[in-house]
Amino acid sequence: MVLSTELLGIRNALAEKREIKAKKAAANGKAKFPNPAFFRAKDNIDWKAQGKNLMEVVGICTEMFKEADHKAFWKLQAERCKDDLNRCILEFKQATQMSPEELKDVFLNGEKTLGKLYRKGDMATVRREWKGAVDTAYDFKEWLKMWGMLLMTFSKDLVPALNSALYYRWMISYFCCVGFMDKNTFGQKGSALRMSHLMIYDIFRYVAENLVFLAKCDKKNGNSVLNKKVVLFDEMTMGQIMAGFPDLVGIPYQLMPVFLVSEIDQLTCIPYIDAVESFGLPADTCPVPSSECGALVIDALPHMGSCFISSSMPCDGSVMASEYMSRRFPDLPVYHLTFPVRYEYEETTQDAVEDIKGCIKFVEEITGAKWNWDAYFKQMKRFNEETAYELQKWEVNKTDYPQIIGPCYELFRKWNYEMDGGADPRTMRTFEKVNDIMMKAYERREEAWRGKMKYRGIVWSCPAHYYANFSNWLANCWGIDILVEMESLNFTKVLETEDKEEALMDLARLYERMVMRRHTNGGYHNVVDELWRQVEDWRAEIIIMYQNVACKNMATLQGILDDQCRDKNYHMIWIEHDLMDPRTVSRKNMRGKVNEYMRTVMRAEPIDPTLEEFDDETAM
Amino acid sequence: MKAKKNIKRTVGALAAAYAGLFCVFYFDLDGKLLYYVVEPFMKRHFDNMERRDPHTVPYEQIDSEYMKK
Repeated sequence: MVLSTELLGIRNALAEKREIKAKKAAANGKAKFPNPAFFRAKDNIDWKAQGKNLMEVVGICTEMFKEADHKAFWKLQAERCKDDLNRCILEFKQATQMSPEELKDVFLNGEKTLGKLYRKGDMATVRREWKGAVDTAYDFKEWLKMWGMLLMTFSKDLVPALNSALYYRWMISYFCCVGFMDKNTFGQKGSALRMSHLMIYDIFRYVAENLVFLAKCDKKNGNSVLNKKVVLFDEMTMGQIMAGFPDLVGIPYQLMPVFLVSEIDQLTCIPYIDAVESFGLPADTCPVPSSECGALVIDALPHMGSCFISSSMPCDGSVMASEYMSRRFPDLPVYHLTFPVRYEYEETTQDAVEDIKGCIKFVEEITGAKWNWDAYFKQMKRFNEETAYELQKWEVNKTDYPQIIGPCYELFRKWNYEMDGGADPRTMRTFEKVNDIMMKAYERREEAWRGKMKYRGIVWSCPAHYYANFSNWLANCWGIDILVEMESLNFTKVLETEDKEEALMDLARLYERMVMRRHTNGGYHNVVDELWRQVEDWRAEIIIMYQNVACKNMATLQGILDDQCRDKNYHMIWIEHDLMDPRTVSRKNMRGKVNEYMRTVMRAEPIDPTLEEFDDETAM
Repeated sequence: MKAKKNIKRTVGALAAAYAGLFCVFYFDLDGKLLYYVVEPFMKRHFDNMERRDPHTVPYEQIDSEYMKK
């Protein structure tokens, strides 16, 4: 379509007006995040090619429709409906058998058993949990809010997002993020439920916005002009360095197609792992870099960005993934940000600072943007405030009345520390709201998991992605409440926000202590001695010790941890997993390890026996 | 009288929409639609798509040729 001069004039005037308004808002510190202009950046879509693609998709759909066994499909749906109806009748019968007091209790406080929400062989739950009248209403409101946010964000530039959904398998898994939200809030009520919803909403808003950016910048969608402003970095590299480049967009490249989606859908990474293993990679390699490489092999990563910042963090697996990346996209300039592992020797910090300076220069040269100290200090001040709120959470959880437990908190902490890093001002409001709810709940001495607070627990080593809500199951089934995870216990020093040289030193120290790196790659003192120190500090009764079967670093310490734990007389439950591959150790097997320990060693009975054994092999 | 009727109608429509959405929420109908209809449909679509086969690309192939794939 060609616009008339008059119309073009109006459009340009409007764009100018918007630009002036945005600059004024930025000057007053009220700039919108992310910059709305990023969403409006021209897409460069080749509509003719898109038309052909669409015709192809329509052709495939028609073929599928003709080929499909409609009889079998509807028969299966009818069976499911029948089963649902039978369940409704059963639940109604159970309700009629209850005394008025029991019925009132269920109506107001929710159901007590959750295992019945699963059905063998099904991906979805039978229905959502009844959390009591007030909390179910709240849950419903949050469900509406989440769908609303997702639809509104994607509608900011719908065509590229739809194209990507039709091309990338992993995009479809994000449609199920509302189900993931349910899994993480199972059994939660009152203040705990509200805090969980607030935190998970922020993560999904970040994901939705970045999915739109990924789609816009992908070569398949014409590489929007926004592409020139996009700096990609390895998903294992923290995002804080982008604080000094407020006009650019920093995107952790593999976070959306690999890392985060594997927490939403346990089956996502299987095609990646199979592809790279049939390409020749040994099967005992850590599934994180394996999946990243596999995604490149099967063309599951968008072709985009002005440059890429790779890293050696948390371990050398990332180096391997970077090499695959360079081979697949040789036109993408790469900077290797490789910090010293012996970070406890302060004399190595200067080396890391030089590396950061080199990286800043690299980004400046490629994008033409200039490092902005004011913007950097502003973001770091916000990040310092967020760290202060985090420390407050730790203080509360160390008391006899912990308030903020469960997978949403764990995910939020990692996302905020690693990816957001104070960039999004909206996150600050979430911190404030969560803190407010938490302190009020603490004053009231609320139970974070009503009726399920039996054991104080701590998680050590890296958790399984395909069972991100494992701590939720621990609380609901056995009353093991995870107060903190190893991956949350990171750098909490207040970062320098005035002296430029010292600020870079602090940034280096922060990067060297990225999630997992300090513990799993920092040597004996940082993972063994540190564990016993934290167990005492948090007064944990049970240690959930994850064993990523492909992590060589942690495997070397298993015997030492076992011996010392026996000497110290702690309860430690080893949970083997294969990080992103549920076929090696299934969720059910992971639960089995806890069930066995609790029954044989602790001589305990589950709080919710329906959750002791259920089938979720195919569930998302 | 007419205004009253209109208000009643609006309230009724809103109540029906609320009840409908609550049913979708409570019986996880959004999840069921995604898992039982959208997911298998998209899976077949992705399986039918023509994609680059990395096993046919010789290891020593130069990058510029590789990028064309």
